[in-house]
Amino acid sequence: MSVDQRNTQFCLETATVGADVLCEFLEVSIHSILYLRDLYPRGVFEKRKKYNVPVQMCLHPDVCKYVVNIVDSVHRLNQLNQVEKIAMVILGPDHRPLERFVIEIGRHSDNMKGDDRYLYQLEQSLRAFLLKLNVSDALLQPLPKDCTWAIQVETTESAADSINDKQMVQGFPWVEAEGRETTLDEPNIIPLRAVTSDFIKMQMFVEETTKKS
Amino acid sequence: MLVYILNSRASSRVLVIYKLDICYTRISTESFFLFLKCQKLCKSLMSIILRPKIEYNGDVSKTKVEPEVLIIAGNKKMATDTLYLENLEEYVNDENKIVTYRWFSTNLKVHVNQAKQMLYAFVQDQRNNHDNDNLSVTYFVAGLTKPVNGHQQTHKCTVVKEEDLEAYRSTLSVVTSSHIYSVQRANLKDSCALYTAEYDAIKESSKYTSIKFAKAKLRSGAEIESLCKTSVPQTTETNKQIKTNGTSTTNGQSKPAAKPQQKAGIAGMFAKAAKKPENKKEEPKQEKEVKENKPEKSGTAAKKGGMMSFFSKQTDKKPEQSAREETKQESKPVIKTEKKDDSSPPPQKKKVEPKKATKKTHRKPDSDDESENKKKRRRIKQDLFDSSSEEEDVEIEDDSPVPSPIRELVTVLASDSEEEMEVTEPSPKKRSPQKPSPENRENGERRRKRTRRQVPKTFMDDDGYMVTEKVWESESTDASDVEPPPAVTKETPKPQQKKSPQKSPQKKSPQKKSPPTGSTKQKTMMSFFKKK
Repeated sequence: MSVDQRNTQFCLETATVGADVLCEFLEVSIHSILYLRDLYPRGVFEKRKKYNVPVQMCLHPDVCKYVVNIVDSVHRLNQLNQVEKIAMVILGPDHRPLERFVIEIGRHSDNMKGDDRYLYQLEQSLRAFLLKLNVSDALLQPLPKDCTWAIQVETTESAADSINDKQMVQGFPWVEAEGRETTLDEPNIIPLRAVTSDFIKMQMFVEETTKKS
Repeated sequence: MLVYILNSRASSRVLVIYKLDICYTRISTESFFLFLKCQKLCKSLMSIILRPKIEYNGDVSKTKVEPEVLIIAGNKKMATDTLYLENLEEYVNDENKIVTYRWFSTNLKVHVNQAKQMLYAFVQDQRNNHDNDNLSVTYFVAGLTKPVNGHQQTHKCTVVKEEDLEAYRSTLSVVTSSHIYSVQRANLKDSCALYTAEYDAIKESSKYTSIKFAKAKLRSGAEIESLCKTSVPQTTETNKQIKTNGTSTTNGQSKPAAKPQQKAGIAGMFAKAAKKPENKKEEPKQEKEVKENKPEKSGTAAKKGGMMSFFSKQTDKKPEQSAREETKQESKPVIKTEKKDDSSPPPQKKKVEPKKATKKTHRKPDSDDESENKKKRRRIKQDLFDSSSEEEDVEIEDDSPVPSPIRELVTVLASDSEEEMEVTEPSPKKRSPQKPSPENRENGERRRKRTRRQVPKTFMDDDGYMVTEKVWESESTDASDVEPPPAVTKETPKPQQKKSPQKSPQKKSPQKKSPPTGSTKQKTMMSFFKKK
């Protein structure tokens, strides 16, 4: 095997690993946000261990299934390398978006450092992400009651088309978001964390409307 | 470079003023910014003054203007007096961190108790002087619970929120300790975040705790090495030998080094027996010499440690064989007691031991019926309920009536133990201590051997198909016979060993080198299958 081949193989491997890790993290962070922003009562959550630290996970089967469906289709898109942003939008009682927790995914660079073979550093930075999520409520205004949430994925039209058939079969179709669901009134941006590793390049921030109540 | 200066010198209680003038370091704007970075980095820095230094010699035209930087630095203690509040403000208010006392003590390299005081002072300061009421604080409370209808009191350690503090304290009958645990801006919903916040920091923080066990001493790498040696006797290899030499010379007084010394003692005894009295203290040196002078012997030295090297040096090749056996017999009891001490096997396992032993004796005779096999399988299932590792033992090796700690060793010596299987009369009691010693094998070779092995036989079926069946065949050898060359690869070193016994350890050592890991187990299994 030539050096070039090995490199490309390594790149492919890291890309798939990155996609998997990202989806895992997406699931963890969705559950964490659900818990931290009090979108569901605390009783439906349970502590689980992820990245060697305790995280909260919603136990309601429908919520779990919904999250799994989301993660699956994001994984599909991610394999096409066509995900720009994944946003968890918290909508107020009048379906006005109040907060958006955005994970922005960067393009992979070709030059790998290859110094994190066992993903220790990556795990550490994902822990830091979770920690930031945990303390983010200090930076955010409290939410009104009866909020709901949605996931929005920014992708290309072709990628959306290509996975849509499969999604239909699975009974989990994605619909195009309306403009008023994606844009916030006079938003503030609160940066949370960014990571650049061989496997993932992403940053996380919160957009919060200033007119919450 | 500058960072280095600051870190190394900023240790005294007094204000230290660093004069970094032109002859010392060329100060430029760049280095000034470096200083600013230093200030971030080394929290003990108090201020940096940048001012031009003017040398006036009476002649205005010759006046030199040189920038001079004064860094006024205090040490960490100094910093804790005044600066820590700023630090904390930065961490908590600006960076929105969860600051636990442990994290803070690690970060500022102060004692945990001091860190607690600092956190408390910070909270007071923020609330009183800065009108900052959106800090959330957690407290650590430990104490005896109140006895509830006859139940015993328990000592409880809890982290509670500030607002619950008094309520919680009132539930305890005696509060033994109560101090601040963490400060943060976020209103924590549970303790997960606290753990996460500390997770990466506290791994190394043992230095600043107030809980200390004076008798606990860190073992050096060499000591650990020698300990490994005691738990896996007879399997020393050249590398280890070198290291043990190191231990016995450098730190003979420490406990773990006792074992090598013991060995050396035995070796010394034999040295005397070989009519060449040796001073015990010279032994390590001696061994090294042996290695240097006769590198081809290193295998020998490696195998038996100190003892063998002695014999290889001091005696001829012919007496060596007998001498070695003597040595082994001598050394055996030592190993045995060691093991008994080290490993108190779980009673469960002991119970299983005789069972298997009997099974084995059943197996040994040349009865090749399938019911035997079935029995075994059933027993496996029984064992499965006992413990899963037990089951593994049975399936993989069929003979390991050894308690678990020695078990590793057995897997290492897997090839040995399988050969032992062929020895006719191993009394179950004797077996387990004997197993590790290769001597057993050598003795066994002189005895009559009965072996059973599965041989694939191919023949024509009634219907005209070729059928390959695995058949148990038994064979026996005469006492004096050299063992027939076995088909299994693992046994190949054996014939060579017969021809040149003094070289055998060299042959053996690579086998045994493999550390007792899962992979070894795998290997054993493979050899088991190869046999068929």
